[in-house]
Amino acid sequence: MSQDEEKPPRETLPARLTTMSFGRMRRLILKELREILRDRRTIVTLLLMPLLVYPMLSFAFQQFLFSNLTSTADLNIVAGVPSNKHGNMLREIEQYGSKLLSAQGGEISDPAASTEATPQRSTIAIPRKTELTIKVFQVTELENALRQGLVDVLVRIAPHRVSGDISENVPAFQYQLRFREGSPTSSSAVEYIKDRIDAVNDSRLRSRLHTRDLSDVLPPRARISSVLGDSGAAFSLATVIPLILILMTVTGAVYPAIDLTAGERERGTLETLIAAPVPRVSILLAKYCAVLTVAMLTGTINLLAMTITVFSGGLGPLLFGPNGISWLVIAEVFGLLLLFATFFSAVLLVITSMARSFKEAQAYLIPVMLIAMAPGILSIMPGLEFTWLLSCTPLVNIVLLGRDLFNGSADPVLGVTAVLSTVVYTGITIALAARVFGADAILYGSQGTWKDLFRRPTQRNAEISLAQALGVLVVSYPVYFVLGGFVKHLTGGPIAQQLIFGMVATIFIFGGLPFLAARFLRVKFRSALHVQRPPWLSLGAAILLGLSLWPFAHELVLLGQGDNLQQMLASKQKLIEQLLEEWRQLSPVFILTAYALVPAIFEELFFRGFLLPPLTRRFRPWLAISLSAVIFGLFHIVQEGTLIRFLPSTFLGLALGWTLYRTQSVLPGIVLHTCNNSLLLMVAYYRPTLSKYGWGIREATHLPMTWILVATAATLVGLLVLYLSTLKVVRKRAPSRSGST
Amino acid sequence: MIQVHNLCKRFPTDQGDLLAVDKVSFQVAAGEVYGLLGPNGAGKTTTLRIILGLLQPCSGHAEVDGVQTSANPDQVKARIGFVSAGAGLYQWLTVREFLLFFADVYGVPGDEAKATLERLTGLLDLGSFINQRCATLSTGQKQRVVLARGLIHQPPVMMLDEPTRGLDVAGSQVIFDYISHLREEGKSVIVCTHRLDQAQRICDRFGLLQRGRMIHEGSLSELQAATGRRDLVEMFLDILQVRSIPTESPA
Repeated sequence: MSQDEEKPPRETLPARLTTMSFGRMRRLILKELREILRDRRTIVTLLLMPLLVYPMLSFAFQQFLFSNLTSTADLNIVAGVPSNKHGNMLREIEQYGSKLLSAQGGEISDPAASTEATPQRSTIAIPRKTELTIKVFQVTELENALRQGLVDVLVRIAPHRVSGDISENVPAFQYQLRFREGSPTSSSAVEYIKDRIDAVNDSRLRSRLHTRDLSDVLPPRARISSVLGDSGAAFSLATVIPLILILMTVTGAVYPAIDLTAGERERGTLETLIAAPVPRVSILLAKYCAVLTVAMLTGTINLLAMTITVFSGGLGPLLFGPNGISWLVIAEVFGLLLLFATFFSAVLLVITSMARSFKEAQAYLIPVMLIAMAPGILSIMPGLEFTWLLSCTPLVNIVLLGRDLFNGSADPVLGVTAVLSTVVYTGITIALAARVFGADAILYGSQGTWKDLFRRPTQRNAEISLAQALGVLVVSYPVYFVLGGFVKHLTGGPIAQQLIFGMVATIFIFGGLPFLAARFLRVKFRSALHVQRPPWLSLGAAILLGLSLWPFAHELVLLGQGDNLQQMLASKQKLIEQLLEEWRQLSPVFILTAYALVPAIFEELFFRGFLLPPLTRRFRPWLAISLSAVIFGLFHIVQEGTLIRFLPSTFLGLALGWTLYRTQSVLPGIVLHTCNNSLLLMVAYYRPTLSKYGWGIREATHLPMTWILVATAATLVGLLVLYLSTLKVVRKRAPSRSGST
Repeated sequence: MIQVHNLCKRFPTDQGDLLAVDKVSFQVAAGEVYGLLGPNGAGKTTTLRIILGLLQPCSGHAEVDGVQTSANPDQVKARIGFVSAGAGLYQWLTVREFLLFFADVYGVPGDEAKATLERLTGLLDLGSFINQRCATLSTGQKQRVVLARGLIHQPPVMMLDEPTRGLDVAGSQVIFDYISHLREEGKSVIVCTHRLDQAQRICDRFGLLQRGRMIHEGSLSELQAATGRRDLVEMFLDILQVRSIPTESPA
């Protein structure tokens, strides 16, 4: 039977098989969840572990605290005062108070003491020897000394007037105590001094009540406030939370990850599943969702158990500052947990997919778990700054974001970058796992090696597969990031040199990498990247769209940034003008080549020609186009170092994606992209001339309504022409590419 | 329906490449049961896996219903029901859940899947354990479930690799009877088995493999003419170069 006579067994078969509907995906996930949640071993990890571990950990922690504080090593605390007089007064209070306390046989506390912030008072009574050192600082240096950890407590003694008091004319003093949040020593120090003030206070009150004698000095009062310590100056227990999170997630995700991959192979069900007409990516995605769900369930139960333990054990203020554990802290921990789980589940799947048995998977995971600890430990390192580079470094970015969140010093842009990078890395890891999962060497070849996974195909292929395309994305993202950083370092050098290097980098990443991949995978470059003749009319439509889409992109920038854009542009106005002046020294043709033509050609080859077709073969067209557009947008975040370009680039990516989907050629997209970039570049380049005629465009203001209306009309005409000119192309399209947008 | 052209498959080993399948070609028409026979390690399972698209051939190609496996593996997989002796079951799912899950995986609409499940339950006598978890089934019951799983999407092609391994006589009989029934339904069937007596009874044509090569291919009478032996057992012993005493001189 020849290919032309091909008849599917049921008419609807191809459409049902080539598109993975959400319903089918949901049922795949449900099956995986049923399998894993009915397994008793999952339940043990899920419920029993946190129920047993946290109360034990809490007990151990308190014991540690107790033994640490009652150890033979004395507690040395340093109090900072602004003058010798204050020092002497503090020493008197300390000595007298200590004497009173030892006579009473314990520490006391006055609950009515005026406090703005309350340091953690341990639930355990702490009898031990404490050495108080008093250091005098200049008034201006006192706060810094406390922040930097040079002193544990700051004591200022101020005269205090008690209005309406019968003793209005006798001197009164208020002791202002300031401590460093999150520092146990600082908390202990303020507790120590406050106890002595309270003891003196109490003694004086008793004495007055007893003798009815109105002394010439009113009892001292304590007023306590806190200060945030400089990062790294003191060890904060909150920094260990990311480490605990890693442990939580790993604990929950390890068993399902092994069971659903290596376990399936061992039980003989993997072959059956791979023999079904479901893309490996979909099978793996379902498994990923199951592992993620179990990881999140374990994490949630752990979090619950931890919250209850922290609350009941009174460890909240010690871990999370004076306000203890709050809903915001819980939400933050949960968010971080989700981010950890998102990435970790993918990493675990890729590792366990390489294993042929349960035991082998366990052996692979031990080093991975140890490596995973490293970023957690990083977060404890004093003085490690959360930089732009670290915000794109897998795992480290989540750990440092967690640390900064708990310290209340998280940078929102770096935070968003960390989240987006993690999402991208997760997608890439899943794609890699899909390539490994069910591969010959894993499925059958006990003699096979990992090298087989990267072996060159023996036969020519017509198209690039999704796993292969995403594999190239795996390589291109970090290369793009590194080269992008390198180009930024060239700033300051000749502008022409920067532009040439930028062009070479663009050509290498978006042209060179797919070309090498196509060569390696034995796929014709032209067919792999959809370099073919489109309908002529579609090129006209592309020009029209290229000239009419920018106003929408402009409005999207405003929508995404709002007032911030105005402030940002104002702050960078001088820099932008300087850059434009440098541009104007160069030929406009050179500028257009560097910023319009080269990016348009190679970005289209990569994002549309190379990446989009495998996506459309796997997903519904609208989903595939959206995914490629978001990836396109994410790359532009890295390029610019800000979020400003995400929305407009994603929007342009949607239009370009639809253009390729309709025309099946990258050429109209290249034309559209070039026109769009060229127009914007030339407006900026000739701004002084245009301004003379009243055509200047201001970045931070909305466009006139007439412009928007004209652009809308032109866009609609462009879309209509593109649609009509590609009807034949869509009809001719292979039956596996079902649906139309 | 099934066409196999010059299939070759090499596996890398520590001692160099192992040629598991060496230029194997054969065809199976609709309504035909083809016995792919041979000793252990002859290349039967590897051939089936290549046809199904689970393994990539080093050269040659396989077609099912006119669709080349290497060009469109998902289309080929959708047309084949694959039953393997080594296939496991999801032990925490019930038989019903297991079968309906695979119906869904093969894109069978819900109502159609339930109707097919009802029919298969009657044919393969699954009723008594349909709501039991797969982990609790006996070997015979498991094998019937595996067969039902291969049939749940009503494929035009069935490939059965050792479908009666580990089954008793009665259990084997159920499976072989059903294979005969598949022929009546017009399906193309490839069966690999060591039960040569049963194979001789139900298969229309045979392919005898030895060390990856097709030694003999054809109907029973063609094989008898080519080998001078009366039944498959004797032919096998010849292939394995085990001396045997013919019970009757060839005509």
